[in-house]
Amino acid sequence: MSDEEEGKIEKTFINDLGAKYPMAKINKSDTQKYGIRFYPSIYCFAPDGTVHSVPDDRMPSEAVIKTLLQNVSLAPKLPDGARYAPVRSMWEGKQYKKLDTYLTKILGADKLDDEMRTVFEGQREELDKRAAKQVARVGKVSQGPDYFAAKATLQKIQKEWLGFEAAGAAKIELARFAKDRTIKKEIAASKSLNKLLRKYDPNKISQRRKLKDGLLKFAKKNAGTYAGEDAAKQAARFR
Amino acid sequence: MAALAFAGGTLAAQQKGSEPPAIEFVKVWNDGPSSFEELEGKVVILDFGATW
Repeated sequence: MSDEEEGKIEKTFINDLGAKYPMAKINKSDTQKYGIRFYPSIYCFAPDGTVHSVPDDRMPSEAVIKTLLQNVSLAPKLPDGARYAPVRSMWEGKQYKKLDTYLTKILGADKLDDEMRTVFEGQREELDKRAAKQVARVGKVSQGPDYFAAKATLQKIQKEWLGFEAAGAAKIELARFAKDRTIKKEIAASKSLNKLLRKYDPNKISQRRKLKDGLLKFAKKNAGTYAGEDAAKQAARFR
Repeated sequence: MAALAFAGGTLAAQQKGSEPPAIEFVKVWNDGPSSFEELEGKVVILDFGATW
């Protein structure tokens, strides 16, 4: 995210650098709220809605981000205490079906004090909310245009949310992808583009020209596909 | 270790464990979230960038 002019953000990050990740234009006042003094500066939020890490005076590297992601808890807000350890562990392990069964069982128990009941009901609500979000996610990614990325997302949802509506919906969409000729063509084209991009290192001058030529050739051959358009855009970045 | 934590604390306006203030997304690219609330329940890396 950046508080610079929209045109500048789009030109630098989207067009010239070819950023694929979500980018946002924000107001200067929001940058100030976060006390940003150096660029780039990175914050990490945990799923429980709290700040997991704050920027320091080091340049954030891939290794730093990797460590942040490894250490962040995937569990929503939970009070401390051993009695909530199984729930925390199931969130951390993405064992959603196991968690679903556990919560159903524990909330059905007669001898549950008020505090625990409130906490577990909150966890049930959170699980239901996240499960519903996955259903919406299936619907969204299945519309394309990046069917290659969509396939990977659907496979992940099918595996992680097994036993939930989202996994069933993902299975149906994956079966549709496997039958639909246009989608199959799109996926094959994206696979080939990834292979081409891995073949050359754009940071080496000697390989940059070859990559550009390869991308232009690919864009022509795969015109009308998402990967073809992507290749054309990427080739345009090399002057 | 204590020095590092202290350095981080002095640079950042937000603290570890606190609830971050909402950010208004004026415009988003690459299928980004339409609102700050959409980030709820997710691990989020916020990268404040600038061109120079």
